[in-house]
Amino acid sequence: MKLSRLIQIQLKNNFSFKRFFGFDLKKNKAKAILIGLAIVYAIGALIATFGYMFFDLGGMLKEINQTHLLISFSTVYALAFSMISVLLRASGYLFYYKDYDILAPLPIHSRKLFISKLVVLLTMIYFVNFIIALPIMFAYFYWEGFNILSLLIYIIGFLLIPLIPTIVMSLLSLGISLFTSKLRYSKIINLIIMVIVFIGIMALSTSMSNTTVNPLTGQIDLFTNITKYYPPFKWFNQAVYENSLLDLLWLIGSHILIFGIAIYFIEKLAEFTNKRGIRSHIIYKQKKLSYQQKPVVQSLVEKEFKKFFGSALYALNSGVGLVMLVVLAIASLIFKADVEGMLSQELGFALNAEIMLIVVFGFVIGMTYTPAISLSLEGKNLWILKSLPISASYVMFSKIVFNLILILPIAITSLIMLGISLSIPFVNIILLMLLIIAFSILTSCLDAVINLYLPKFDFQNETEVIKQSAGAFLGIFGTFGVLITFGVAYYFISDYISLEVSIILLTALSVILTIPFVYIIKTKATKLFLKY
Amino acid sequence: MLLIKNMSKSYDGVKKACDTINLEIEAGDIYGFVGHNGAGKTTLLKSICGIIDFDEGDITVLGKSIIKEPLEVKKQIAYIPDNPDVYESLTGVQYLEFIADVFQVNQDRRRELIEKYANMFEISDVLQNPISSYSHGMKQKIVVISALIHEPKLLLLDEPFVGLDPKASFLLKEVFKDMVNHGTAIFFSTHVLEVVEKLCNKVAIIKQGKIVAQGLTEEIISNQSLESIFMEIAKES
Repeated sequence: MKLSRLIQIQLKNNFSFKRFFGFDLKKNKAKAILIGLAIVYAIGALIATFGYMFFDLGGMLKEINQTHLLISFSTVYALAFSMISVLLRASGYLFYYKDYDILAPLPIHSRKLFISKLVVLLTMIYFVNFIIALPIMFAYFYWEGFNILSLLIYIIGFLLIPLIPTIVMSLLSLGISLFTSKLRYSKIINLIIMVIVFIGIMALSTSMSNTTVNPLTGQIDLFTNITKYYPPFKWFNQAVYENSLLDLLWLIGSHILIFGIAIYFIEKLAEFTNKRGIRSHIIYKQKKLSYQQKPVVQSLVEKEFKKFFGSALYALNSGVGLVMLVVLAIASLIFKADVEGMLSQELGFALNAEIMLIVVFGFVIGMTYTPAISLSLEGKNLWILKSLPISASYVMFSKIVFNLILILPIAITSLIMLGISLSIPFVNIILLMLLIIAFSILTSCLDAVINLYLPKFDFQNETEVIKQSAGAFLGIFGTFGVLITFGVAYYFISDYISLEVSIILLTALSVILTIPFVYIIKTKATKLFLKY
Repeated sequence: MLLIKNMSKSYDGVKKACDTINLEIEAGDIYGFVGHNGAGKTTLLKSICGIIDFDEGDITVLGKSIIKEPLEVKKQIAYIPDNPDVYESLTGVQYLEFIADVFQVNQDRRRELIEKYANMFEISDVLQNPISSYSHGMKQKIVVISALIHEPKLLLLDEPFVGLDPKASFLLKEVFKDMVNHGTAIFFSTHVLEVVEKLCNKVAIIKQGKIVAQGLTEEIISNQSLESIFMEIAKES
């Protein structure tokens, strides 16, 4: 079989619209319109936030003749995303892929199989990298002047930059899988390692120095240093900025050479690991079995917990916001002034502490989007819930309860810590607590409705649901949309009423907005369940 | 026990997967359900237990309609699908406890039944292992046990013997016999015609969504084998 045909099949299998959205766009026009609106909204939000920040930064850099630093931003972000992505996915995409049993007996050379899988992994990385880079590229070419050769070099370089991190992180990903597979609590340990690496990469890519002009300016020193010490970045920067073909040749030559050699060796490794499979060698302790009758809702929530902590990818993606919140809250007690300064810098001086916390907690709650994907994650197991004497709405509410159990204890504890360190009055802490509870319930219900209408049961890999599904996308951006609505509402009412009354009104608004979602779940869930 | 009246179901609005099906299963029946691939067996089984809806007719279990009182019907039945896809993040015993909780099986009874069936199917020593570490056959056994621990009045099975080793298949047949002696009705689809001949007192044959033969097994097969009857029916088009 020709490699191009194999790649074509793999790409079609992984990236068709139906695979991405979980339904046929042509047959579901209402859903297609909804998705279209969501994409327009997401692009708008990207341009308004990320785009504006880089445009603003570009203007400042232009004044000091340093626009080339924008190229460093795009490459470092691409590098960070590629590293995180490969770390999470390489094991399942390259070394232990699920369709190995189907592909291996076919008369296809293992190298072709490996390359086709690698192309799928890289396509995913390129897609997100280009979305991240587009606002930066726009800012660069706006301030530096458009040049077709620079653009071509930019694109070529952008395709090459993720290759070396892909090799390194795929080997690290395999190492972690092999190491943790020998341990009894492999999934939890895997999760902890991933969280540490993830936070490390995040901390590096968002580290700041003392600056109050633009949050991005704090990253300049770091990016300048990375560019200085990692030659491919230097070649890439000079190739784009100075249209240096020699640097471009260095970039292409070095990457093709290293990547070619790596493919040769890693392909053999991938063939070996796929043939061998993960051997756990774990001996489970056989304790005396004790049985305990529990209420159904407790059983359902416990099942959700086991699913959540049983998948590093699931826990990491929908729980990382909470981890960062805890880190922030603890840090606020120890480094009070720094955290206060950081929040002011990121969110603007005009906001008072309470509003800053509402924004921070809003984002964290938005990033904890389990009800937007947990129905999809039932996948082939959905028959169990459908055949049991439990109503569909009960199932959905148990998923909402799970999300609230995940969010609320951490959010409330963190709020108290942050409230103390930011010297927020006790009454306001209580009011914020009520708002956080109401907002969490609202967004959890919204997420559950999104997943009810946009499930994706037919997936080969959980990544497709957790990171690439319409439910995940709308779950996160839907909550951010609610947050923006609240921001607009606050903007209009804050001149006329006190902060305390504003918080109470936002809490009341959350409760009111929750009602239609609860109604939809109660009345539509059963019918929708039967359709799937 | 189970009454299917004029039930029809179409997935695309054009071709009927089940076409005006009428069937009655009584307490104590072991009812075999045979048909070629895509004939509508799984669709009918899933419709009975409320996993999918249907367009026309009604299905009642112990006088209760799956359309009007789905939860009441589901309390009386157990369904075993053709593929044992179960929660891999749970251990075997956690999954069985989850099912027991849903059916409100009390602590003593669940212990008794889980131990009985786990010993019978020889998976007691792996009950505390994650289901993700199970083989296909072990998963099938867990699904079978989960269907038995709440003592259903109606047991629905889709290709139950696929994936089971010969000993487990034999034991499952023995469990079937024991259950029907206690008044349970069993309705299962299979491609193994010999099993139907030897085990089932009644049989239905489905072809392109329609029941083309049903009744007592001995009357249907008469002096022939079920295989020859099945082949004759398959030829008629």
